[in-house]
Amino acid sequence: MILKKKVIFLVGNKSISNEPLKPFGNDECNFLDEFSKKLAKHKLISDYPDLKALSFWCRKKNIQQLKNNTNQDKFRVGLGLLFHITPSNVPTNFFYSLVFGLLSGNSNIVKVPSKNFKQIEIICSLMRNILKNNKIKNRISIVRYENNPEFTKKISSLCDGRLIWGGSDTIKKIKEFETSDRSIDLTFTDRFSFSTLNSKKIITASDKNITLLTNNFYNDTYLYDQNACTSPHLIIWLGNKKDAKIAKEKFWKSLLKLVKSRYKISNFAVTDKLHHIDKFIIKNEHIKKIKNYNNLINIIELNKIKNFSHLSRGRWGLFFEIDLKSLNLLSPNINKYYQTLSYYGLDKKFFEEYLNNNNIRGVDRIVPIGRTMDMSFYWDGYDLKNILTRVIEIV
Amino acid sequence: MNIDKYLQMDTRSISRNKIQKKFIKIISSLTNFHFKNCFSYRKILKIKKYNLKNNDLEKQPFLPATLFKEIILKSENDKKIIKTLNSSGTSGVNTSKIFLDENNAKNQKIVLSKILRHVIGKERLPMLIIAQDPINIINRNSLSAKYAAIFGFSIFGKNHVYLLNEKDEINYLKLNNFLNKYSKKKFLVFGFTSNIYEYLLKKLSLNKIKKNFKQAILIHGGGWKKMLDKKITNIKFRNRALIKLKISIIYNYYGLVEQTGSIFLECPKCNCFVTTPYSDIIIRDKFFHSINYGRGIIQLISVLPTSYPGHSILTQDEGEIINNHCDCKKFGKRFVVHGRVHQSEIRGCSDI
Repeated sequence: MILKKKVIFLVGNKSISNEPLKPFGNDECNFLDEFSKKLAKHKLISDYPDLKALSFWCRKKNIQQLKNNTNQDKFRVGLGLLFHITPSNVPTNFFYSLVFGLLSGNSNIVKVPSKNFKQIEIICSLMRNILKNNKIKNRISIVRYENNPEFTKKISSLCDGRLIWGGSDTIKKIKEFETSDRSIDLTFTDRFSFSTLNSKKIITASDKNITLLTNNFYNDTYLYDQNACTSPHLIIWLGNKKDAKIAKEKFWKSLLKLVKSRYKISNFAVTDKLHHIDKFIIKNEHIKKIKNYNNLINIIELNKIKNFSHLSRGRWGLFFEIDLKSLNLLSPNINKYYQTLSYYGLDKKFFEEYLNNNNIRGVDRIVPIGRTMDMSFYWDGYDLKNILTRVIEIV
Repeated sequence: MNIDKYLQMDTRSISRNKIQKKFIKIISSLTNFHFKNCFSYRKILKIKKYNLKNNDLEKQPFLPATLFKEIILKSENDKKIIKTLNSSGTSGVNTSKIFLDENNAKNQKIVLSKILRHVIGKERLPMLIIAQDPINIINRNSLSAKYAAIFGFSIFGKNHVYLLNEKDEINYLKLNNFLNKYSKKKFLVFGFTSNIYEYLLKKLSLNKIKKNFKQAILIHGGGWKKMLDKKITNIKFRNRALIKLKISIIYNYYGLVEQTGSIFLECPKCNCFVTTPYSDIIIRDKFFHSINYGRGIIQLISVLPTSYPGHSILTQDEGEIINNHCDCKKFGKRFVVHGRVHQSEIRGCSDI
């Protein structure tokens, strides 16, 4: 394979296989196991919570569990060669994308962000070390380049599938590069996420449980400046208004304590939040009131959910909230941009019933608050371990 | 309190304390005026439950400067708008739009002349402008901030000469003609800070001019972002002007397109900007508390904006109040500007 210059190979090289393998091969699983163990022991691991999470995620037990969840009634192989274009602001995302490809039996060329994240450096140097004499070394290439359409074009024309992460502009640009007839594109674009809390359960929860909850909520939001696609922007208080009032106060006050002690907000963030709040006020009806907790938590309380757009998003701790008697009232708003619904004080059964009664165009994940960032083999509604493979039917 | 009356006042004969009281009255009456006349402004204040009776300057509401980039804000009928100012918009595609009626435009000139009079004197001086000749600007009713400033300042000069040709090169013939005629007496040099630096302090070849700039009064402002990128500080700038061109009278000014006219001039002794009876500054911390010490976000207050709600604005600049002694202390609050609020690296996967 001919690859142009100006492309830096952080891991692997120009010679990469396109041989499709069976999913969850032993070599791939062993590689991840070794990677997980070595990453856990890395001297800088405690500085990077995202690396810690990554190491934990690809430990043997978790991979085994993923494997057990696959249906093995059909004969499956990988598609061949995958091309991953990963997002510019999340340092560890590229590795998750790689694991999806690897475990489904594919070889992978992964383009990482041009920004020099320390996490990428750590992960890649570890991989180089492990892959040195490894059987699967010709199945992984990690590349970094900028403004090199020739490379993108070449790889697009050769690959059997692309995983494109990024804003709609990035996705449009990549899609301009043609792929072969049988090649597939999976796109992971900017999404809108929200939370639903059971007001009554908040009222009756112990102080300890509320602290635990707001701690989880903090990790879902402030840890990434509320800018991850899984971070909620809209908070729905389920139940009657009287309960909601007490629940809200209890929740936000507890969160404020945490944010005050942990979060460093910038002058840029507070002026930007003021701008977005004022703009929202001017452009929208149905605002009940504005709450401001020390510029650290800003809340726009709505009195009607009608006309609320998924483009209304906060950053650095700016939330929209509303009291609803039933989640059904939100259903007409839910479009294909809705991604993660995180919840508290509700259960699986509640949501199964909700989904049975509502045919919604969006929402791909329903998870407890605190677990919005957990990666699984299902992402953005795709069943990745199946979609990245090919079924060979034997009759 | 009437604004026209306030602008007619001889501020040097009245104590600062009294001026301050009148100033606060003007500002709170402006808040009420815009509340009545600007729908969007009213909506914001209503939802935030602002108390219109408030007479505390620090508690007056403020709009973020960036709002003028996305929202049309005016307190006057379209029919009465005679001029629109547009910010240069270095940091994004959007530019601020400021709508002026006749009265507002007139007041801008009055205040600018009151502020400049102390520096230039009452007489108009020959003026060298470090920009292209604006004859190519067809529509003078819709101006960029740069040419709004040039036109604003040019009424205080005479015999105007524009230094640059249409290719942005120095026109030495014009320059030498100007210097031959006027360099023996006081004359004005005016331009954007980055243009003065680029053309006078860097590109200008001294071999090609026959006279010097010793008698010049240099007035410059705006465009510090480019200077910070080049790591040129105010002191470096002044030194270079002094060493290369022998210019010793230099006034840096600071102002917003949202508050054109009520600019802040630098004190030649301490290099701080100083407030005037027409404007004030409040420095706010991350929680929007007013602070008298240390670095924070700059809020600017001006008596001028009447046709749009721009009398109290939270900028995207950081600055600091200076409390040590200097003679300029008697005129107003003193402050320095540190540059733009810094956008730290964005975390997360959304790139909006």
